[in-house]
Amino acid sequence: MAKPYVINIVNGSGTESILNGTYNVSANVSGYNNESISPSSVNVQAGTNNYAFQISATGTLTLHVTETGEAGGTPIVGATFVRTDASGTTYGNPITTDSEGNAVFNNVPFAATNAPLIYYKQTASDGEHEFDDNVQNTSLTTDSQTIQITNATPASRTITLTDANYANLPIDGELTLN
Amino acid sequence: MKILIKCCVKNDLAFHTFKFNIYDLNNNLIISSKTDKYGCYTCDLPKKLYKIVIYSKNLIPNRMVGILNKEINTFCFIKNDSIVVTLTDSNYSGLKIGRGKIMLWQNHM
Repeated sequence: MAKPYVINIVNGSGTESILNGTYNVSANVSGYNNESISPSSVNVQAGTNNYAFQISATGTLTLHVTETGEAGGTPIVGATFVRTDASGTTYGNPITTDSEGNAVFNNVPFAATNAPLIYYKQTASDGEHEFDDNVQNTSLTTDSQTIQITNATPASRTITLTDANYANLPIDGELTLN
Repeated sequence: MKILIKCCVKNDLAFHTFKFNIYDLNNNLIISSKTDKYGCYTCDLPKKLYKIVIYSKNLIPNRMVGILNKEINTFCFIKNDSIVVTLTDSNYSGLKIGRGKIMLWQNHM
């Protein structure tokens, strides 16, 4: 059998000089189900220089959100997460934590070695807890993994209200922050 | 015999220069040179049959072996266009795959 054309993919794309013709497609992507490459055959023809392929994975990443970040902590219900890339661009639908505080991302890549990084970020909590909205990353070495995430109770803040015309004169009353 | 070596590229109007080696039938190197920018080269050779190996850059094939046995000897190459392949996650639309390889196996069916 003739040698195949091997196209190195970096950051989602690669280029190669290829003769026109019909080809069967295979993939070698760490963490993904290489059998899932789609389409599995391609007709390279004159005048068409862009070809798109997709591949899927079968791992499961569970984000378990509690007040303390411990497995037995009080679960946070209604926190939302989304998959991103390293720059924070979002992909797919947001996932919301269930009654046990679990947000489950299905179809994520895993591999015992050289597992790709999975990026995600929290976009909301339940409205009563703090959360970190920075992009996080992890990698799965097994097909299922759980990460503990903390959504702490709000810190106690000291608010002062004084008279604008009489410095430091305290005022009694209520402030509303919306 | 005076011979003309003419290298052309199908469907391409650009100029190409080709390096080549001419061997006798005992594989002795007779000439090692290159064509002009039009892909042509002329020379006088005493015998009627020689072997030629032509080298190209970014063309298919990048090494062509042929026979010189007539006054005008034409060798045709194919332009080697690059294709761009994108690979994304089918479950997270648009999510680019960081690293990997795609192999295209010629289907002779």
